Amino acid sequence: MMYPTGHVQSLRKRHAVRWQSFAAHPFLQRLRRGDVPSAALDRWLTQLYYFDELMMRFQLGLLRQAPREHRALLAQIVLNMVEEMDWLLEEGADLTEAPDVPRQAYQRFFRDLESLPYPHLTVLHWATHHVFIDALKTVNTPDERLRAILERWADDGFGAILHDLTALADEALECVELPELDAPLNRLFDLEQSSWDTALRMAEEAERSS
Amino acid sequence: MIDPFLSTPLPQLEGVTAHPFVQRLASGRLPSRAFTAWMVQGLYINDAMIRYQAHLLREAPASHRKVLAVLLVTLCEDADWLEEHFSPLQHPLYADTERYCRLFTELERLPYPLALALDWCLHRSYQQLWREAVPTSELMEFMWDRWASEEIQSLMAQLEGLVRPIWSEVDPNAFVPLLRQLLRFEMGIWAQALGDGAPH
Repeated sequence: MMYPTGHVQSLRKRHAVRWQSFAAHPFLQRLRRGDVPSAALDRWLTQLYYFDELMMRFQLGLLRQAPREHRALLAQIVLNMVEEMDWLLEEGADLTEAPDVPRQAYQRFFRDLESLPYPHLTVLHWATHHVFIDALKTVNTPDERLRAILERWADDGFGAILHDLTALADEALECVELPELDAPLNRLFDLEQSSWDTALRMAEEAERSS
Repeated sequence: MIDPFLSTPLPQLEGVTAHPFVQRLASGRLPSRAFTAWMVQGLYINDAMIRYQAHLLREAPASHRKVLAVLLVTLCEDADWLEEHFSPLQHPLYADTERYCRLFTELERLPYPLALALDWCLHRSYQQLWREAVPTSELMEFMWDRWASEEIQSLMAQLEGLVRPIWSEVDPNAFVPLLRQLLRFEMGIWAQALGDGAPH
C-alpha cells in the first residue's frame, strides 16, 4: 500500500548530510569488502542484541501510550525485535560480554526520550530504525549472518511493517515542527556514529590480535 | 496442568462456572444485549490487559519473550476487532470494570513470577469460557472461533509452559486473594451485563 510520505521526506532532507553519512563509514566499507574478522562480527552481533533489547523496551513504552489504532502495528514490531533477538542468541550472541559504551549511551537516550510527547516519539522510533537500516542496506555482503539480517529487514519482511511505521511517522509530523526534532535527532546521529566507530575499533582489535 | 494450583481451594473459581452468565453462554442462552454489554466492557479491559502484557514483556527473561509478544499481538488484534464492532456509547463503563482495570496497574508492582501466573490464569479462564460457549450470533461466533482455535489453545499451553517452572516462586498467599479479587470484579461485570441484557 502506498502512503503519503511528504513530511518524513522533508525531515530526511533536513538532516540528509548526517543521515546519509553512515553508509560511507569505514566499518560498512569493510563489511562490503568482507574485511571484518569473524570475532569482531560476533562482538558486533552481541551489541546488536543489546540494542534490540533497548529498542524493544522503548517500543513497549510507546505501545502502552499509543492510541488503539497504532497498537497492532507496534506489537508486530515488538514481535519482530523479539524474533531477531532469539535469532541473534541462536547465532551465538555472547551475553557474558557487557554492553559497550554506545549501548549504554543509547540506554540514556531512550530513557530521556520518555519525557517527549507521543507524536515526537513515533517519529524518533521510525528514525532510529531507518538511520540504522538505511546504512546497513547499502552493504552487499558475502557474510551469511549479515545477509540473514538484511533478508529479515527486506521489503517483503520486516520492511513491509516499517513501511506502515513510516505512515505513522508521516501522520505524527503533521503536529510536530521539524526543528523540535533537531536536538534528539542530532543525538541519535552522534550515537550512531559512535556505534559504528566502536564496531570499527572491534574489527581493528581483532585484526591486531590475530 | 499445574497441580499445586489446581489443588488450591478457590471457592470463587467454583463460583465462576456456576455463574448465570457463564451458564447462559455455555448453553446458547446469553441475550444478545448482554453479550454486547460484556464486549463494551471488554474494550476497556483489553486496553488494561495490553498495558499489563507490555509491562510483563519488559520484565520477562529472554526465553519468555516470544510467547508474551505473540500474546500481545493477539490482544492488540482483539482490541481492533472490538473497536470495529462495539462502541463505548452502547453501554456505560461499569464500576467493576473500572476497578478491574485499576487493579491491573497495581499488579505491575508484583514480582514477575506472580504477575505472570495471574496473567496465565486470566487468559486460561477466558479461553475456557469461549471453548465451552455456544455462540448464537455472528459476532459471538467470531470470538468463539478465535479463542477456541488450536492456535490460541497452543498459545495458552505455551504460556502454561512458562509458568510451570517458576510456579514454586509464586506465593499462594498473594496469588489466591488477587485472583479472587479479579474474578469478583469479573463476576460483577457479568451480573451487570446480564441485567442490562434482560428484556425491559
